[in-house]
Amino acid sequence: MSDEIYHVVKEYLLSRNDSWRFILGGTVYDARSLIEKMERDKKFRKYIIEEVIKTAVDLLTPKK
Amino acid sequence: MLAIAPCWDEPTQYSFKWINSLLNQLNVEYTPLFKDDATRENFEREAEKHDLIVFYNHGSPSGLYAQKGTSYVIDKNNDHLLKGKVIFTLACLWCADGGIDAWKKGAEAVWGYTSEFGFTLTDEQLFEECANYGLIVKVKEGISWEEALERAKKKFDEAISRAKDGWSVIWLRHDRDALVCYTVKNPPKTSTCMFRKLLIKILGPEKAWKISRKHALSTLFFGAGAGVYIHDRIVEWTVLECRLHALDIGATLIALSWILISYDFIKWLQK
Repeated sequence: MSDEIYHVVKEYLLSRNDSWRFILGGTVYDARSLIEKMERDKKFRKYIIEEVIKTAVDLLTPKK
Repeated sequence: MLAIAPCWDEPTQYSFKWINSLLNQLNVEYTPLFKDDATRENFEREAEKHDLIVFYNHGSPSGLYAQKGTSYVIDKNNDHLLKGKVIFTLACLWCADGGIDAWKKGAEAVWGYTSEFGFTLTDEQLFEECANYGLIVKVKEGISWEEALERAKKKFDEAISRAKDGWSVIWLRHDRDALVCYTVKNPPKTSTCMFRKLLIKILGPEKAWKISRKHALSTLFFGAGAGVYIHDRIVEWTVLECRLHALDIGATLIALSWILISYDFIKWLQK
């Protein structure tokens, strides 16, 4: 399942334009460097996938 | 208000921009410790003059970084200077540990993030609005910190619905969940101990966290021991004759020494 989510995340990032930037803590990523980081750092990839899942759960949870 | 904002790399250029926007919106007097002035020495010199400290820059569980990121403006060795003050931060991870320590040492309110703060440039404006909102709503509407936290979280929810980029949605949700504000009414979830929670309610966090488990246990043992002794003596004096033994003198001296030690302990606790 996490491989499928990772595939979707990767596709999403590849569809971003060149000026797209994501800043996490002290690091600035463009789509390509973010994918590279996820490719070589399995722990980071797991972290990103967990954030995607948490967001999906949050969006599907009815708000009081 | 003391505003601290180092600025030396790309992410800090954004936090620097955001704090300036915050200060413009607040429209209150402040002392700036910006860029090269954002040092530990300057903070320690200025801290006592201000009730509210605002910090925007990099952080870690151990502390809040000074200019260039080679040392800390605030860490566990000087966070006692925040006693009785409010600290509002936009910094990664500090509230996972360092912020809790500051709260335990008597900071009135500690606002910040328990995880990294993530944002996209596509929706930078939304992230800025969310990061600044808590202090703006607190100052302008005079609400409690607990209410300001609740309102800030709702602001994140609103931003999620306005975000243009799906990636922004993920990190707005992430930042919202990492946002905390430690106060007496909303303490960090560091203790599951019923007695500790009760002590925090009665004495406040600063005093409650000074009482070690060993001290609480020794008091409990002393109380139980004294109870057994008094019970035994009363029974003996009621049934048999009422006479003082050397044992009673010894017990009285032990009790007296315990009272003296406790007196010193209470004085230390009140410092």
